[in-house]
Amino acid sequence: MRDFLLKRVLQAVGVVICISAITFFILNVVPGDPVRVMMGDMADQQTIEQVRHNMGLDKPVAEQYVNWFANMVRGDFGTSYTQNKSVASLMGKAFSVTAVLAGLAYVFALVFGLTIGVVSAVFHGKWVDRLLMAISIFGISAPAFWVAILIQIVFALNLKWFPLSGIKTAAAFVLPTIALGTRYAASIARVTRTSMLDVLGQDFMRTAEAKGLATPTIILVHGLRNALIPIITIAGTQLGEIFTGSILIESVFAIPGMGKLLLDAINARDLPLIEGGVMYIAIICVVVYLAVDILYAVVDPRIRLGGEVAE
Amino acid sequence: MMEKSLSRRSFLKASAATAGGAAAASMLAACGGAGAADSGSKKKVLRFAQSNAKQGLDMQKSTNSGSSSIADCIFESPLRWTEDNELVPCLLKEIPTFEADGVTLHCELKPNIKFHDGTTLTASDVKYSFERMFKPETGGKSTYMYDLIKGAKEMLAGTATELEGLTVEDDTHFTFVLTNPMVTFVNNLGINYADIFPKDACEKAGKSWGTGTNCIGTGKYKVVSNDDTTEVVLARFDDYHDGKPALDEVHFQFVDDLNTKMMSFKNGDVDYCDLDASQLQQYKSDPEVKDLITQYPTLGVQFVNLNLSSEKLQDVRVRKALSLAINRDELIQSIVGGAGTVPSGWLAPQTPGHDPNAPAFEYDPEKAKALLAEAGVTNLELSAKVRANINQKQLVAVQDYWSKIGVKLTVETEDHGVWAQDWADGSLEITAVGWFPLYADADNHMYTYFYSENAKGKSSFYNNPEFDALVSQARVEQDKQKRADLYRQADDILTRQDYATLPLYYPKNQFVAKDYVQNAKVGNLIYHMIDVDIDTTKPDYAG
Repeated sequence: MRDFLLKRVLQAVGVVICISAITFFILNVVPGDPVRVMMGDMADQQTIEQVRHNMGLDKPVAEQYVNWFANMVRGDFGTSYTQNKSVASLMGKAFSVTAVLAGLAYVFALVFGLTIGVVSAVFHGKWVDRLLMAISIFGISAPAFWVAILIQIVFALNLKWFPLSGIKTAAAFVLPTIALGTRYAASIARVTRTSMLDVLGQDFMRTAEAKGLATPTIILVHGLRNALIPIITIAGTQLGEIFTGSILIESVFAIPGMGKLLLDAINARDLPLIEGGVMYIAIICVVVYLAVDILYAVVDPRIRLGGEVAE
Repeated sequence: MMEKSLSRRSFLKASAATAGGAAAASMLAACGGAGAADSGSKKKVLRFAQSNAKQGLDMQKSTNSGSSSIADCIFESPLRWTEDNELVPCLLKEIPTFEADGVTLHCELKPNIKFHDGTTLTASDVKYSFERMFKPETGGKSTYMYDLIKGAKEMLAGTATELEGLTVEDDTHFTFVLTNPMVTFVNNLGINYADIFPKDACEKAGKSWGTGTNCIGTGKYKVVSNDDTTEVVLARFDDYHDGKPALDEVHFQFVDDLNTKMMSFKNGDVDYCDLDASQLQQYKSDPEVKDLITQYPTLGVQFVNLNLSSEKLQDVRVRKALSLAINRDELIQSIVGGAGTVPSGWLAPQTPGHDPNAPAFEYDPEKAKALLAEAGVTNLELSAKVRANINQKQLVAVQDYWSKIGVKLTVETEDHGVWAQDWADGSLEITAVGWFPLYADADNHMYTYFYSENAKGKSSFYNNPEFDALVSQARVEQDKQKRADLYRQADDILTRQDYATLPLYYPKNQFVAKDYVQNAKVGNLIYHMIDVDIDTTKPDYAG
């Protein structure tokens, strides 16, 4: 286990370094001048060149990368071209908002996804199953921004139950949580149902019932636990997505999170902020996949980390 | 058996969960609504929504009109452009005029003007603010508007640390000396880029000046809180030098999504905000909103930029034919819901130099075809690159109009950064641009864009010595009427003789404001809150 973790952490560091180099060089090679975007249409050439020099963007790309990387290792991601603040402080502030939104949406997705999936499997072929699966297909198909606008109109504009946008109150997080979590809940529901149906037909389920165990114990302890591997796979992937993919929701609900920060950075060619954002996404993904691998072993003792398989 | 047993339990649990969720939701909703209670005192609080420029409020570093709308409440410049396009004194006692040499400008500050921190404005603060602008470490974005001050270019290059051309005589008197005459320099003292900061506070804040609460000016409203991401809250400044502010508080709320912004307005969360042209038709037919829309003309022009270095566009008859083929009236209706007027030249009607007698550009596809035939042009193929914004819609419409006279236009969309690079490199054959000068003076319009040296960097390559001479002469002409006449002649040559560019329309913008919001005004894309008041007797105003 220790060797496995050490190996994976070292691999992760290598991946992050590679991603940082690739991103840096791609961003500097693709057409588009960050200084021109920053200065606007009206700025004259002389001012543009002066600002380019002041920002060190007239230096060779390799030199810029080495400087950037050396600073990054020390925790200094540079200063945003457009916002004139340190990238670390901007990302820290945005991440604190995204973490709340993504965390709530993830809990929402897990609770509703697992519940709907299990109920559908248990009532397989019945109207409850068909209804819940129809809802889940709707949840997967409906674009997140459309769901967002729909629930804004219904629950904020008409019923006035929740704030329309912003993050001033705890209630303001309810609608974005639902809008962001719906699609993920629907995916988890469908995978849970499929996986549960496989497990419910197994011999050990009948054995458990024959032993006289309580039905919830049979379903949740024997059934759901054995159905968890595919659910963990998809839920793990979604954790990475949900932390990095809330751009539209943040925009619709005026939430100053990571997604919005990165989108604006990309539009403005704000290279330090884009680099910082890519590092954020890379680290989230690496950590999530590592956590998923560890969870496999926890859930299924037959899996041994480090390549061993239990006899 | 198992199914039924589970069914009851599950549904009981689900019901409990649903009930719990609903109860929690109600409680949360109650929390959310608590803030809206009527205090009874009816404080005058204006809530304005706009997108977040994320450039801070230091207008030496920002060029965004959204930043300007907020900064306009907090900071002040020596002079001020009103929403009626009039230049008036602000921090200065009167509008200064150049000495006979055309480069010396004596200025006098009003006495005893206070900053929000209680200190008194002096000429040293003016000198400090201008020197700060030119320091390389500041990263000033609009230095080109002031770099004719003697010593400015040396400061920008890092070879000088003091601004030679700005001398302080005493606390209220100071003098600018320019390297060469430029009458528009006085006009430039009336925009936010010339905001004056208190030396000590600004130095203390360092790089964070203009963010958070590090915004101390002489303006009508002072910063109470600013998280830079969701809201800036301003309160009235009781020691303001020019009358008592009407509002108790101004809240600038950042909402980037256009739909959310308008829903917030309808929901009563916002009192006042801009209305994007893309939403105009929708809200013109909304009974709750239609009577609250105010439309206003801008100083700008939307136009098709022709690259005159292209072999295909050398013949003026071809350029005129391209102009005649565009049904501008129809384009304005279809693209921006009628928020514009058919132009008669480059200069908008409020700009001195606009010719009120010039006819609007004609739409005559038959005449266009005849001109192309006369020029011997057949199967003309042109290529356009454009940003994915309103300019893209304009060119798609133009593509259709030109196809009707046998001209094929391919329209390619480019990312903003790529487009900006191509535009500056001069590699765009056709593109569309909106040009909004900072105030009602043609210099920022015509010299900046079409003077031969400047036109190269804007994919235009217009080069007419007669035009160059007129706009150069206008830069040093002190007589307003004569200047306007020079620009009128220049506009005639540019758009009606040379067809060097094809103006599409003079855009109008619009905003929505609740009926209790009074004196809502916009000065060339910048929302001026300094005269806005709230009628607390109106029943809609919650207080």
